[in-house]
Amino acid sequence: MTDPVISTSHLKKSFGSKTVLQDVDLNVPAGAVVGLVGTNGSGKSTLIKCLLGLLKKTSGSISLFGEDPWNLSASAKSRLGYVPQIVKLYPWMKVKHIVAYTSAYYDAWDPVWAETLLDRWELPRDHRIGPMSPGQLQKLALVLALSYRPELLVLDEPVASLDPVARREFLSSLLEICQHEQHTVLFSTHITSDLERVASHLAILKEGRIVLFDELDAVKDRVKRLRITAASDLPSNFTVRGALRSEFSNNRAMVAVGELDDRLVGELEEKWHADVAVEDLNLEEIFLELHHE
Amino acid sequence: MNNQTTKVIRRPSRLGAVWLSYRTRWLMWVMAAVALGQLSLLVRGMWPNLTGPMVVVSPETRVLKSAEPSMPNPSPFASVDYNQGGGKTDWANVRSLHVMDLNQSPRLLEKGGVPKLESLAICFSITDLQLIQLCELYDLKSLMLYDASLLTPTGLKAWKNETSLKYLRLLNFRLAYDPRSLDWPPNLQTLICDDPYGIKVVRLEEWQQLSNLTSLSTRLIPRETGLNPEVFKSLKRFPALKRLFVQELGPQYPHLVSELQSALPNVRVRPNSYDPVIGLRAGTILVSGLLVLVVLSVQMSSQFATTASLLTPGFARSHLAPVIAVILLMALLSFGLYLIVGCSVVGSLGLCGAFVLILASGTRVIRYLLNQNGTPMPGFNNPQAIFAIIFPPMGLQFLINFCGPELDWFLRGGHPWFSVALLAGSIWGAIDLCRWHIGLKRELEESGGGNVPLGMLDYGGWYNWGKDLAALRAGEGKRVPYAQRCMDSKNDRFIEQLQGGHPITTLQVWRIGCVASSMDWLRATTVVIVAIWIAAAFLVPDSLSQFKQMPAFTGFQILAMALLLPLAFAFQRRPMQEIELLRPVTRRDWVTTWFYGVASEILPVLLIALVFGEVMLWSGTIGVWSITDACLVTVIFVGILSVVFTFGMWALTLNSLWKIALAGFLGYCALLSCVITPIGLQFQRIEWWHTPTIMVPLIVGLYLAAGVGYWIARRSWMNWEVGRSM
Repeated sequence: MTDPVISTSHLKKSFGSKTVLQDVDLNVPAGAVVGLVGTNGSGKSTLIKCLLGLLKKTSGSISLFGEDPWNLSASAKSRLGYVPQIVKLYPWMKVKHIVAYTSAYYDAWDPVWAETLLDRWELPRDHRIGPMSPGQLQKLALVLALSYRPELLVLDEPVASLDPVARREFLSSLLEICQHEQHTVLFSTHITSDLERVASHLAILKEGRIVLFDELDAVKDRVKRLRITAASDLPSNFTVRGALRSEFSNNRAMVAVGELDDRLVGELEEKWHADVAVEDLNLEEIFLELHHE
Repeated sequence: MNNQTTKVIRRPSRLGAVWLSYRTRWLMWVMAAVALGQLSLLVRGMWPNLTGPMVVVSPETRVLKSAEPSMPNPSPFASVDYNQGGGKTDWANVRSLHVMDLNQSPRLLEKGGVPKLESLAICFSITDLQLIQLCELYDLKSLMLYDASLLTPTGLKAWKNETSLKYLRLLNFRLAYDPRSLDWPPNLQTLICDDPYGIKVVRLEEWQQLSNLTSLSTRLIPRETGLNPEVFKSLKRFPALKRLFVQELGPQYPHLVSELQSALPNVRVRPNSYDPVIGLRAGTILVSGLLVLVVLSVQMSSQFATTASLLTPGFARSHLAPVIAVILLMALLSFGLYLIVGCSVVGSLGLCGAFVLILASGTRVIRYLLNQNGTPMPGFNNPQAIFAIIFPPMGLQFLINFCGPELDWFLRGGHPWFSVALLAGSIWGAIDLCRWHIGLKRELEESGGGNVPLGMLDYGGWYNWGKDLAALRAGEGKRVPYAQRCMDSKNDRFIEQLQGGHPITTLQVWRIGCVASSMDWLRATTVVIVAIWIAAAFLVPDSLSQFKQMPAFTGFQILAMALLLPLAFAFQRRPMQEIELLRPVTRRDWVTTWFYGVASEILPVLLIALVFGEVMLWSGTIGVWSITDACLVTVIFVGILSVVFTFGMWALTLNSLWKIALAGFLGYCALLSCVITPIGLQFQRIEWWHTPTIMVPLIVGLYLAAGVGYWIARRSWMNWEVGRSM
């Protein structure tokens, strides 16, 4: 088994007295496409910046390509691509200038691929960066991050500013890269439908902690909704083991569980003389169930 | 009936809401502190009694400065102060000489001793015989005698044929009140004649014969006889007189200058001396008023740059009311302060609102530069901030150094129409500022700046991207602003270099990320220095010799700004470091490149500044200095710059706006001191300049501070969390 590309253990990050990340354990295997989801302010961007060495961890450990990201070597950095949430590029440069400027740093820069991406996303080479819309900027940042085919691509809400067409283009490119070149991708997003299309793994961050990290299919297999119809009214202290959320009225109940197994269904049927129907959840529903207070 | 009490949520009034936006911003408290500081000065009347950098006088003493034309310096490269021994002076080429005692300067009275001498100043008394000898030996163009008390009519016959003499200054001249007839050099243009007893009318009649005399300074009123109406009559008969300087005699003749001015409408009549401290204090009041307004304007910009300013009913009225109130209060406060420091009512009225006029006109100029020409401004985006921090102190220095007498005359109410114009301009300025702020959001949207964040330190908020883009779409490359085209061609050359497979260093790539280089800026401003130099050399008459220092003054200012620019350019790159740090270089290499990069931008400017400075020092434009002086200035200059550089690099890593602003301000002050030091030293020979017990610790301290600054900066960069937003 290969070493994980990203690995954290008991990672903690505080800004003054405010703790943003707490006890984060995350191991991203090579070739995985990890979707990082969480509510606003859950610490997604902070986690990504700590993983990249842009922010200094308060405690715990982080490893990126087997190195401490705070002192990442040049060779490790050449294998890394990053697109921040708010793209800031030199506004006085033209598209062709920033492409040339970035290419100067990378030996593995693929000019043909860069041109292809510029064409695909309709970015004129002579346009200046200053007046570009946020969506165009994000496209350009993606071109710059993809053009040297990095082994690890870290994207902080990469499609937030893109229109539907560009989003589809981006996801296609991402799939193309992942399928052909076995790259590792970590991206945060709020658009779970996109994540479902491309992600192999899902990480859910809640209040600075990873509350769920697994392969996407495994998550979908584990997190289910149960519709229970009991023979008689359910008592006021009705509970289900491992329930994320439950609602009940008279003899009916709807329960979301984080770890479904056959034994649980059997237990419920037996205890409450009930019919138990198991429903699949999409990612958005899983996310909502996990964040239900 | 429902007894349940309902909680009433009271909404603040509109003005209350505006007040909330003020009191929750720390910058506003800075503004209040500056205003209160002024108020305390008004109440307590506390002003430092400084006449220069190092001379402290008692409150009763007034150190006056001469308003008369100073002696022209024919050749700045060949001026010698004989009093310092002359050293290894090349006497064959000396054209300007300053001696203490003619008896101690035998070379002067030898034939061929100083063959090219044109300008001579003698401190001790001179006899008739010595004057005759000098007139025989030299064709002087200017002569200054600090003690002319021993001269008699017999001696003065000697200069009757001195046709080349244009400038003559006679102090303690006892013959002006003498009834006998005297001889004068026929082609005099400037005559400064000071007799403690005043002059006889016969003297004026003699001077009327000098057809080229344009500037005259003398004591018009005899000590014993008082004002003589004949004097007025005689003065009117001067054929070419343009400037008349008279000694004021206090309460006895309080309106002497005004009366003379009324009697001589074609002659500029001025007092022969003035108190420079009044101008300095008035300038301080003006600049502090300006600072308050700048802060106010920054607040207004942030309010009026929002969409709410266009869509909220009553927004403009409620937001402008406190602004107008503050402006009025500041004007009133300034008026009181100007009166306290010694300005006249007319002068104070003219100046009391000048801070508004300066900011409004400055904003217009910078708006033109940014919105019409699209010239990118480094570092600070807010035009008011740029204007207030950099230009007013420069302008003030300029006025005090080069237009001191005229400034003093204005402060004393000598230019009532100018005061009225200033007051009217100030009212226009207030209206213009308010109008501009009301339309700010619309202007930003139309210029395409709506997408760019509007912050004091953001690049591009005021840049006319829309125009740039429109020009590009229309294929009119020529309409792209010049500055932008310069950057484009630099970047195009870089692409060619890359595509040509030429080796590229990390430093070269780093430079491409800079909006411009300080050398670009220096090249662009060279034209200003050259223009000023040409004007000073060829257009300004010798009688206005203080203007000859203008190239040095402006040059130093421009160089000081060019030295600060690399740090300002670097500051603009801060937001991009989140990506830059992830380029394939180690953190150590990234930091090193940054230090080398900024230093490499500063170094060429520093070398130019040193060469420029040394030339100025050696040329005598700002004084005749020894090699030791020149070395000391160099060592101190480099020391101050090193401190500015190291602490500036440290400031780049800060995440607090006010700390950055403070560091920037201190850096600018330090650089300004680099500029002022040599010029200031020329005006006042300060004792500590040559005192090793002071200079050595000062120099050691400077370089120690630079070392500590480097250590702090480097450490700070190595630990900089670039992902942390400010």
